[in-house]
Amino acid sequence: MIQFDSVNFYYSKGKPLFQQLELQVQTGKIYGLLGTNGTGKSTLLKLLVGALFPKKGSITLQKPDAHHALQPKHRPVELLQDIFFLPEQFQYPPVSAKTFLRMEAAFYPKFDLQLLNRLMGDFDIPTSTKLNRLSYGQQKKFMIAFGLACKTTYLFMDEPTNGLDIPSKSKFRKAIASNLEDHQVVIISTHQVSDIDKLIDSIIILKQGQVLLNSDIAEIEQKVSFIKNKEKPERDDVLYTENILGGFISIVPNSDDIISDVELEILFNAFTTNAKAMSQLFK
Amino acid sequence: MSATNILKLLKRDYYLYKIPIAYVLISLFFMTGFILFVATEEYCTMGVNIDLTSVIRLFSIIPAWLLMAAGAFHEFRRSGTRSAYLLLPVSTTEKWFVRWFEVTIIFLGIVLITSFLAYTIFTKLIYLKWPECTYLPWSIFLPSLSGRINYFGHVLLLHSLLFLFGIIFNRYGTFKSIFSVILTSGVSFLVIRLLKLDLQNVVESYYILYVLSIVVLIFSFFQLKKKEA
Repeated sequence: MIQFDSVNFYYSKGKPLFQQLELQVQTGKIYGLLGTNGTGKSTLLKLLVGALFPKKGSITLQKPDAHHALQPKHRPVELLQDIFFLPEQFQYPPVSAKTFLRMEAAFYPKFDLQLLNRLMGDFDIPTSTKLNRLSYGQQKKFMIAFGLACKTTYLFMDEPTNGLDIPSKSKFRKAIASNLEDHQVVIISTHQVSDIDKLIDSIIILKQGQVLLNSDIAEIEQKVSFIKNKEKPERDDVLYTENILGGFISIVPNSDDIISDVELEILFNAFTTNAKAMSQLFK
Repeated sequence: MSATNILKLLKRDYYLYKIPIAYVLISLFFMTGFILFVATEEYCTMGVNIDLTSVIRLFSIIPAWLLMAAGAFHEFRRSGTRSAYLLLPVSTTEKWFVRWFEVTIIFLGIVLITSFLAYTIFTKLIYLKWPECTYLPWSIFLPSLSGRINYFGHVLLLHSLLFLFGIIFNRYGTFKSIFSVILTSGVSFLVIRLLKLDLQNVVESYYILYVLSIVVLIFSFFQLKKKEA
């Protein structure tokens, strides 16, 4: 489990990014981390890996089989060995994939070479070309494959689908869904909501340094319904309505217990425009 | 500290830096050859006796060794490589120790070996041109400990300062480090002059240099730790 306790963080003192941030993340799930630009998605991931330290409060990570929780800011080796972070921007050294593996794989005790080879095949990544000469999309695919092969308990990805072509996005979803184990937790920060649709188990929505939503897809399905109409609905309980091709889509409380597919983009827009009503429903 | 982690870091650095280091060593090899050639020509054709040992030491061995210390934390130049390095699953002590060991011990060894090879090869080549000239044996590059301990103390202090500044400065680390060392040396010189300290007369004053080097290295460790925040 990952726990944020009253975390404060700022880059410059007058502009706090997180104030008294509380968040709980369970293992065995894939989380989608959503938020508008500048809400602190990347910062949250950097705090989780210990690349940034909270100014106040604490962040703890506890593995299911561990007796005690560890704090990323202390950078214990046993925790660093169990975290893989895919940043949005990265620089590869001028080495081939083969050499990169010789350099880096040994640092991760659970590294699975067979899985990496399989994923590299699936993603069509050349093994002999120097990594810094690969296209941005191919570099990203290699990093995703490497991250999955590390088999770390904590896998954090910042905009992993940025730069991937359409077939690769589909392969990315397949790779994540089919290669995770129960003890692992994945947090994917993204603006491309449709890329992680049908992949994630839970959603975290950030706005102005606060968590507006931290909920399972199943819970969302139980609490709200997504209704498509040709006309704008006249119901009083409509929480949010948006124009779509051929009509309107609305979010209403699920009072009839009818399960509808969660439209992530609509849900995110609802939280960012009608945060108060939406948050009350999920309290 | 774990020996396994140290070996992993050494292996990683070997793959990452073998090519740039090879360039430095090749430059050192030819620089040594060039110095030997010029010195021999001066000696054989004009009878000018040059202190070859000092020239090679000052213009090839020491600069190469110091340059490596200044560039010890090359990945700090870019935020991507910096965070990738700092997030490596090993302790700060291991990271610090490996880099210090590489640029101080390992590199000194390979610099001396390269110089020795250059000396051996180039003296043979030069002999073909000026067979009447005799050459000093290689042992001149390995001075007696008692005679050179003070000299080495100064170089070691410079090396430690460059290593420290290499951690402090993210961008253009090598240039900023060299500039900082020049500045520090200037200030130290002024302080010694102003306080009229005569270090030469203090018995075993060179120990101060070694102690200072250790202090600078300890400080560099805490600077690396601070970098992680």
